Amino acid sequence: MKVYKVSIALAAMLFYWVPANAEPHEVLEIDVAGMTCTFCAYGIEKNLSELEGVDKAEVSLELKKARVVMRPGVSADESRIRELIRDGGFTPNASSRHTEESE
Amino acid sequence: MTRVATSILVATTLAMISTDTAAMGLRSFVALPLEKNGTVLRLFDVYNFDRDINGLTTSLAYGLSGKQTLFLSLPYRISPSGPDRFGDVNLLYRHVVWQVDDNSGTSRLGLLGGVAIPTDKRRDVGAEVGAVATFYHQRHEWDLDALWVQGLDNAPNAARYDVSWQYRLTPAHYPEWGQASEWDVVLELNGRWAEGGTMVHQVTIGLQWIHRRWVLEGGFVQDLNGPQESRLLVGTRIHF
Repeated sequence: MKVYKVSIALAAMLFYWVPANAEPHEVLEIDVAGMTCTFCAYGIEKNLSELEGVDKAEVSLELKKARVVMRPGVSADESRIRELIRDGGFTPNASSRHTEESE
Repeated sequence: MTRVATSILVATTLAMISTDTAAMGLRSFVALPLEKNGTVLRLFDVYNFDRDINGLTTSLAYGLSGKQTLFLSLPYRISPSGPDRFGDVNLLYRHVVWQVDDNSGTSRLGLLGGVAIPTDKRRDVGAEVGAVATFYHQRHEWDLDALWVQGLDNAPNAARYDVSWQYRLTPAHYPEWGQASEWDVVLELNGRWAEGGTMVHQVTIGLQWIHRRWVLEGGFVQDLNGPQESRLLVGTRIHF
């Protein structure tokens, strides 16, 4: 009976764990020039976070970058992201894409 | 006649205070970078120790685009020795005409144009024109702005300038990802002039506690000439 319960628990863990790792997230990192203070950079973070298909967006004042994590299976629309950065009053520069597994 | 002159001076002063809305200088609100469709609300109180008057200004900044911003402000005077009343509504438009961004900061020049609309029929409209320059490099920010108010009909002309230096005390380095709150010290030289008077130069020193979505700020202003008055500033900004 105990083995039966452990098997069910393991199966449940696999059920939740496997789908989360099945589809990796695309991540777009883009250099942003002109970002200065925390208060001023908030607007970029907010607008990028509201973009369709975005799971998470954050900016780094230290690295001068914006990082956009897409939902699984969704590809980042780089031209729209660049437009939002320009709308934020800043200048988008070089970018790179990679994929990340879910945590 | 003295009362009329005083009223004009106070009205003009209120109108000037009302343009105190944008970068992150204390006395000026017109340098603030703001994203398209972004809104910043600022509540700012100036207490004049010598005249026992509070000037509470409510300001809104709205981003029309990355380079175009509207500023709207309304001052309200609270005085135990006289009637409480609204000052002039101030509507100012800023267009950034030059901007160079790099990894250490930014340099920008914006042109300003607007109008001061009286809330009292006894006062007249003023047209405003000016410029604001911002230079941000690593932990230092300099903002310079100047505004000329052309009084229409019987409204007096007026002018102002602000030279602001801000230095980020902490953090020395931001975290790689995620945003830390910061403390900035502010030192400013300001000038306020109303037709019929002399330019009153002022020095302002203050502190700003800056978070992602809000700022708390305060400071002290001392006239360097003219009435030699002292003022205390307390304010907050919220980014929507």
